[in-house]
Amino acid sequence: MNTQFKKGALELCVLSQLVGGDKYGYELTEKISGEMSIASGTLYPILRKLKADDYVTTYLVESESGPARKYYKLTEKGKRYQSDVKQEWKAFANAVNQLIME
Amino acid sequence: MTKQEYMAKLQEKLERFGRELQEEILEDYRQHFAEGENEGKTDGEIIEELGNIEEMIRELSEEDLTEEFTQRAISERAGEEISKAGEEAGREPGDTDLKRSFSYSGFYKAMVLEGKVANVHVERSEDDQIHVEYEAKGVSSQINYEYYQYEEDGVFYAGVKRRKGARDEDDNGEKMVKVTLFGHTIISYGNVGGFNIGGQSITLTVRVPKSVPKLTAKAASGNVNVSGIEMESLEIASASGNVGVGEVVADRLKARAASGNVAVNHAEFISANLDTASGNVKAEMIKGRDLHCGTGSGNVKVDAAVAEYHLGTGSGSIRLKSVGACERIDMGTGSGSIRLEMEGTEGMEATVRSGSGSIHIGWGDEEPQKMKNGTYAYGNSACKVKASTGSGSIRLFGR
Repeated sequence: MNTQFKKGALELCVLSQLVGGDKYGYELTEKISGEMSIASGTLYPILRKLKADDYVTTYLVESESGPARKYYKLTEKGKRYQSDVKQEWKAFANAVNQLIME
Repeated sequence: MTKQEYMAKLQEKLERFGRELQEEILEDYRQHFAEGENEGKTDGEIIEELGNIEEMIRELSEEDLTEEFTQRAISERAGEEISKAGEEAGREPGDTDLKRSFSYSGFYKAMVLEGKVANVHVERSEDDQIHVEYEAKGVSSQINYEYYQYEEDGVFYAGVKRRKGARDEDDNGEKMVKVTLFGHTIISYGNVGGFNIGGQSITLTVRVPKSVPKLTAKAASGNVNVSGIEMESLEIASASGNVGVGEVVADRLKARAASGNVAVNHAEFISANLDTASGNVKAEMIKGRDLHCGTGSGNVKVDAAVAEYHLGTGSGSIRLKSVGACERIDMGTGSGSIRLEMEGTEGMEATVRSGSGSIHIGWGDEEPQKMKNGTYAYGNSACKVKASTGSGSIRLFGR
């Protein structure tokens, strides 16, 4: 699959998962890999990129089960971005659907 | 592979990246193992879930490479034509702009431009040659397309195609992968320009001389704009971008979009077809013999002097202002409203039908009358008007 395309789609999935509330890395990867077949490891670079772009921030929460969990939280910039990209995605998906049905 | 071997391999693959990145990704993976183990998964299962390390490495940004590796990657990938823009203040290493210009003889019987992800602009050439400007903005390693040009049987072909050795092709060439997201099944066939994430922007500007009688310009996700040209046949299309035409004279004009809008202004033609699946169609200050406009769910708005109109939409509304002698107007919509203002015709025979909307017809200086479904004659009945809608209202005014 085209790298840019996949990255864009995954970014949107990750950001959308965070709209409903903060999640930690493993929780996010489980959720997304449960819906599509991807290597969970590929999500970590994406999360890192989202943080570098100020779309998310992170904080640590102590966990009883082991090392502290890194939680991801959507920033205001991230919220706006998610909403913009979601619209772009919908327009694109509609166009593809339209064309492949012809 | 054991967890230790997997982590050792990860560490090795991360070596060419900065220290801070290495630590972070290693920690993410350690955390992932801890969570998985806690859920009772075996190391084998967790390794399978985390997947191929190379695949993850490819997701890491170019910017995260250590400095000497970045330099090498750029010169390897970009070749001599790309000026390294890292020297410019405020830009990250890896950003590049590529701009090239070409000129060709203008004696071709036709031209075919294929923009794919690029935006395509067609303009008038000020001399008798074809001039092409190719401009790509973005990160060098992510520009997966390049310019091409060739000729065959007197036809000039130019456009943008996938670059050999583009980053995601190193395994098995161009892969068709089926992805399901939000309940939509998508086939990935290439880059998606409208999907503007860390991506690229390519513009193809083509100046066409009068000697070329026929032009086809297409894009997949880019916009296509044509202005200031005269020719026999002009056909332009974009799948998800917008299509625009201005100051054009063409015997046959075809403009087609799928999800984008089609906009035409100041055009003269014998026949014109303007279509989009879900966008709007807008045509202003146009003149011609036959005009066909269609959209699946968008609106149609036309301001024109045309002899025969065929305007249709699935669920949008139709607005038409017609000037001058006109022979036939067909307008149909599934659920939208229809409004016609006609000027310069000596009469009309109007056949109107609305499922549940109201109908008003006015002729000359008389007050518009509320009418029922049926056929009505005004003046010398010269123009045959048909308006039909499932549930919208109909307003016809003629003088």
